[in-house]
Amino acid sequence: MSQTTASQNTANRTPAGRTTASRGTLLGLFSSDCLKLKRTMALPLAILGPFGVVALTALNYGLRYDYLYKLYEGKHWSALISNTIFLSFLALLLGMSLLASQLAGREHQTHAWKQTLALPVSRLSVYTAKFLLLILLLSFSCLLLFGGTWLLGGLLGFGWEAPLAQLAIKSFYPLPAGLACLALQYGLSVAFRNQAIAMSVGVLGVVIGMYSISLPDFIIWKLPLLENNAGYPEWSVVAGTLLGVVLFTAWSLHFVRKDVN
Amino acid sequence: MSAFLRIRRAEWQKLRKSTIWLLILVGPFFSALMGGLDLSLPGEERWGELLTNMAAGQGLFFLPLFTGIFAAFVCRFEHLDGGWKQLLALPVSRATVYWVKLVIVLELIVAMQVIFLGAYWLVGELRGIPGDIPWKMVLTSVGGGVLGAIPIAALQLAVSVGWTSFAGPLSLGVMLTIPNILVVNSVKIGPWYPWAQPFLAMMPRLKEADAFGALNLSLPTILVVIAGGAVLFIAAGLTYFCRKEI
Repeated sequence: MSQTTASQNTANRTPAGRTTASRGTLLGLFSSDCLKLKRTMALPLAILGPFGVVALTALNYGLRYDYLYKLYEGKHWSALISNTIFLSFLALLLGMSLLASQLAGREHQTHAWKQTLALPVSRLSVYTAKFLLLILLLSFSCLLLFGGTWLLGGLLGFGWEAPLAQLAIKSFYPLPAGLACLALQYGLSVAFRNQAIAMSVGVLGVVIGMYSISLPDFIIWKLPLLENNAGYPEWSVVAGTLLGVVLFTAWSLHFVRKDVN
Repeated sequence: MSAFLRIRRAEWQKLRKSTIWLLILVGPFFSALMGGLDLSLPGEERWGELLTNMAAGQGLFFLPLFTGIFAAFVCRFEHLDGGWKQLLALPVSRATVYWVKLVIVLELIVAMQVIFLGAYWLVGELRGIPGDIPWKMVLTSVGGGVLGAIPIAALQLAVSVGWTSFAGPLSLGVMLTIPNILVVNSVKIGPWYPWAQPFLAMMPRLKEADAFGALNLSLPTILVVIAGGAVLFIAAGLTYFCRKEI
């Protein structure tokens, strides 16, 4: 009799306890991941990426300003924006692999997975929190790229009235369009302790990206370039996001069942 | 010398069961895939065209990138779980260890180039290109690629030794490789940029009309730049590693 009561008590308590815990879990994990980011190369990398892209474009224009100025007469801004995205989407692909590998690699190296998972948190939240952090970091990079390209165009003397809608599309769309690549890289970095695997796939993705203009549309490394047969950048965004969600779900299921050590 | 050989054997032992051989195949495979698709020149000239196509991908991207991956790879075991202190507690000199690691990276690059040569021959045969392989041109290209990768290997190894994270040195390598697209077009910067050297050394000499940017530099010029870069980066890496606190 007393046993039944005890088990009933537990049964009554557990769901309530779980809901209170899960309300705080994701947010708590997220802030703990933010804390772990301190004094690592993650934030400097997120800043360095867009800075490098803008600097390289500046170098390209600086070396042959007269030639390019004449070549793009009358459409300076749109030429600058399309020149930039060809570099920036490669930098984004690289940045995704790097940040994912850094975030997950640190956990592997310090054997932190088992420490985190020993806490009363769900594995899905652990997996999701880092992914959200990755998206946040990369959004910051996109914002810097937006501002940096604007600044560069202004300084190059194209006038400060930039076509902001186009600039925003080419700066911010590649991230959701590249969500599939991000989910893939993040999944690989978490699944394999050996970061060489994830990084090799990432580097290969960058190289495929370089040649992607002539490749078919379903190649996921082409999506962040926003070029497709349909002719709308939104097509790439929708395809990338959907594929990203599928890949994220698949990898998170893998993580939930994974044996950690 | 015998210490060198013994350490080298130990290093190979660590690599033996790893997946690194897969990485060696990737570069040649993709450059063959991309280079072998459209060939338009008639007859025996196709051998030259095929080499130009394949060497472009291999030299511009795969050689510099995979050199970085190999360098990070040979340091990975040591960075994990205190491998450096175990290795250096043995009666070996740090300089020898460093040289062995560098030689291993170069051996992997040589292996990659040999497979590139095989892929070149295979694509040529599959596409039914008539005549003999222009051996002199091909071997100059393949060998030049190895030489061009030496400074990169030295610098990447130095960075990999210093940086515990696997992704760190690799990101540096990729970030410095992406500008290659622009750099090789520049007559002024191209010849001096270490990451462009494999490309410049691997590309066969083109006819005046086809050459662009920094292409068709004389071989001695390229070799001097490569040798200078190699000496500088090896010296820097060695000095750093010998004084580093483990």
